[in-house]
Amino acid sequence: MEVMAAEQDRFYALIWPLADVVLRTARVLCARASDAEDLAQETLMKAFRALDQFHPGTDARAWLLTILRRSHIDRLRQQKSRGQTSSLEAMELDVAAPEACPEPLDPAAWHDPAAMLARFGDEQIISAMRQLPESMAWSLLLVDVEELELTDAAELMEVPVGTVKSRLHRARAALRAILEHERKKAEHHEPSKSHHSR
Amino acid sequence: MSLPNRTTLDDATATRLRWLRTQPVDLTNLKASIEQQIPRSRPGFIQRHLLLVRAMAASVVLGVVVVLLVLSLGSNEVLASPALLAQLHRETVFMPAHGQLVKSIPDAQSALTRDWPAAPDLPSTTPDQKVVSCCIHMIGAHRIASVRLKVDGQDVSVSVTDADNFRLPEGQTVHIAGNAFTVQSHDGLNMLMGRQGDRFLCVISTLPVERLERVTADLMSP
Repeated sequence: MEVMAAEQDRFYALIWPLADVVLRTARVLCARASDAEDLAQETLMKAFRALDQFHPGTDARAWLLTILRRSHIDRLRQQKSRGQTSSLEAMELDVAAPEACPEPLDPAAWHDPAAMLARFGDEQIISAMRQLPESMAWSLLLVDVEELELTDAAELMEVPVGTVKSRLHRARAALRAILEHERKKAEHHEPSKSHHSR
Repeated sequence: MSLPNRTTLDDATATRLRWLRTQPVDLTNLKASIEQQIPRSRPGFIQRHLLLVRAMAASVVLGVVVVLLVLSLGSNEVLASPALLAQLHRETVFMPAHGQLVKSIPDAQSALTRDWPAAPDLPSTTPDQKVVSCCIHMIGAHRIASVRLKVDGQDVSVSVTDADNFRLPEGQTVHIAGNAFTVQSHDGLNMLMGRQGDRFLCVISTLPVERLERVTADLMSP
């Protein structure tokens, strides 16, 4: 009983403070909020059951994100076996669909890329990330959003550092292409309105 | 008009993505379902009484702190208490809404100067200290400028203000580049604070104190 209580205390001291990282990442991976919460819950429960495998002093965030990634892969495999739409193949084969026919950036609009990107709201950025192949989305999530070191991201994704770097470059370009496509589409539909501001 | 080069585009994209971390996350449902499956351990009889004693002691300490603060108002100085600076560090790392993402100390200095023309000079960084963001805090009537760095993958906050604004707490002292720094620890954070000329400088991180001393020495090198 005391052992159980100690494990619970350990969970709430070490793991629960990172619940926002888990849920935020799951929100990018899952379009539906309820799916994201299910995935986050599954990740935290697995972390609780595997607490004895966590080494104090190591990066709890990277450990949790590893569990999250594996849980997400398992879910995609289950969806695939049930014949549901799955991006598992895209993840494993590293298919770069958005890059196959990238939307060329308008130099006049993108001459100040920081200002241009600030015009897109968080939900628009997240929606664009969801359109990327899984491997690209994970590269952006780990390195750009969570600011993990390249070596940690590579270990987490079980690929060499060079692969993470190349995925990152392609993912950022693909993300801009998607956003540019959305911008042009919005301008086409509503020529008098500008984009949402942050 | 031509497009900026790929590096500029990539840097802007990475910076924009970093902002997603500041998006609030509603944990209400997740918290409820997790607490249902992993109940928080309830303190036993003795622990409950210990908690009560601790709460009473904390109230007394808080009262004393308030009295000391009121007494110290005459000197217009604020005691740089570890709890206060730990809070400052957390706010710097989790970047307040008015914070700004920056890539270098000159960028941070110019961003801070826009809101605080008399902002003290920020220390210069070394290549292994990645500059992430900056912001200005208000503590009492005093402003303090903070910069978030990444060193060895860990967050480090560097805060500066006029030396007259803060009074250093008692504690172990180390000498770095000829200046005395007080070493403090609070809530898992290590902190070094001291004066360099007319500038108060505080460096805080979860990094070990020895590593923090080397970081501070690098920051103070010309």
